[in-house]
Amino acid sequence: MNVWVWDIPVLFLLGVVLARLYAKWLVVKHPDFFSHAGAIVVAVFWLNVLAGAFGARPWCGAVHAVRHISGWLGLFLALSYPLWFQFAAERTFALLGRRPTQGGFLWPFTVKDRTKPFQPPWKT
Amino acid sequence: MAKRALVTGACGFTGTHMVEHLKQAGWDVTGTDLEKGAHGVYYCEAGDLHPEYYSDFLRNLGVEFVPADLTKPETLPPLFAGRTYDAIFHVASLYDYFATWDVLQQVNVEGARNLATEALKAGVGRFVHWSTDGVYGEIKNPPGTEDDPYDPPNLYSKSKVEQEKVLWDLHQREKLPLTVVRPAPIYGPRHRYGVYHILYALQKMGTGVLVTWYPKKHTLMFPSVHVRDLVGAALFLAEKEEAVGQAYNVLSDTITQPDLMAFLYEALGLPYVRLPVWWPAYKYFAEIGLNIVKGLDAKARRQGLRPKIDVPMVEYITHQYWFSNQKLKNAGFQLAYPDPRKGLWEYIAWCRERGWLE
Repeated sequence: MNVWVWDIPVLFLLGVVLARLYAKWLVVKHPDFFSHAGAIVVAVFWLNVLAGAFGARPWCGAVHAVRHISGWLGLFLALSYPLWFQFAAERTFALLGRRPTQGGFLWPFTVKDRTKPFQPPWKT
Repeated sequence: MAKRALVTGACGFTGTHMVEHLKQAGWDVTGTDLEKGAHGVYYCEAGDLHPEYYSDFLRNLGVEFVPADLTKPETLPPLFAGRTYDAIFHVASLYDYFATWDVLQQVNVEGARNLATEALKAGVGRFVHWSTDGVYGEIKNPPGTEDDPYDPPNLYSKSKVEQEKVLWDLHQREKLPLTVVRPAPIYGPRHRYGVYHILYALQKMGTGVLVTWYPKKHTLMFPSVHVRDLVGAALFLAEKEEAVGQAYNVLSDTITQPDLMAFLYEALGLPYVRLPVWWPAYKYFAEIGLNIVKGLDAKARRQGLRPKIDVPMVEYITHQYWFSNQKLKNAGFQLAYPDPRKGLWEYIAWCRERGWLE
């Protein structure tokens, strides 16, 4: 199986970016966004791995630093992709908050409050 | 004929509950507090986390309101003109960890002295004074009792110690019919500073960490009291002759901080992780955290802002505050909220309805 060595760092980065995007702007009006985006991202990476398993060059040959990983090891690596994405997203939620009203673990360590105020549940 | 009471700090969180409780018990009540506009003179009202002023609440209850500033003795005689009080409930206090010593001393110490002096002149029946469990500081041999020595850990608690000393002195010398209640951190409807601060901060962070300490003997406790238990105890003690000259801790049965935090995370709907920690390592990192919060406090003061968390509040997560309520129970008082989780559950629902919590 041919994989790009930066697959996991990129997945991690996408987890961070999408989690932040979701928590800051989308969670209220589009609560399913993160689940859909996560499923799509992982599906695209898996399709790429699947193509690699049949001898195709990862990412249609647009990337270098390609490695060949054999057999079960490659399978386990591919199965770990959603975990890396989820791990990054969870760390981002914990550090920066899950909603626009939250600031995460960093919130008490700032002086200016950039989070939105709480509202009664029927107003959100 | 109905008994008459004077409640100071009547427009504050605890004061409104005291007034309400007295009215329900059939007392005639006079409430006093600062005029609304003067509130900001003593309180830092920046941000969401400061005591509220509930003048409308008093008006709706039909309670007589006579404004006064305890720090100005000339404003006090109108409180006593033409009225004889069976009891004064001295709730008023500047409860603000952000306040400077000068203001705390002026309001809490001199204010209490001025009021008690007028009360003695007027021949008041009972003087029930609000202190705090904070006067003991960290307890060496928990649970602490009313006989433990003073060891205030912060400026607010220090002002309450000085306040008590003034009043005990007047009790000894002038026979002020004094009873002191020492509540643990108070919560309940209309509360917006202190315990609320914890709930607010947890929800603002959005993810919880449930720390448990090893060895387990270092497990910290969390004392608290529902405001209805507090005002109930105050009235109960005001009607007991043997309570004169006595101090009482007023708090629910104390639960551990991990039990409390697990409950709060569940009640607030927050995900959390458990973090077992070796006690010396915890103390080390908590000390670093405390220094960071002190730095933020100084930075906020320079910018004319309030820090997210007041420094003394961080000490609650590093020191053992565990007190006994046995003396109050032995006097015959029954707590409505012996387990704080019941009261906190109701309080969280109350806050949510008003958008104070999500």
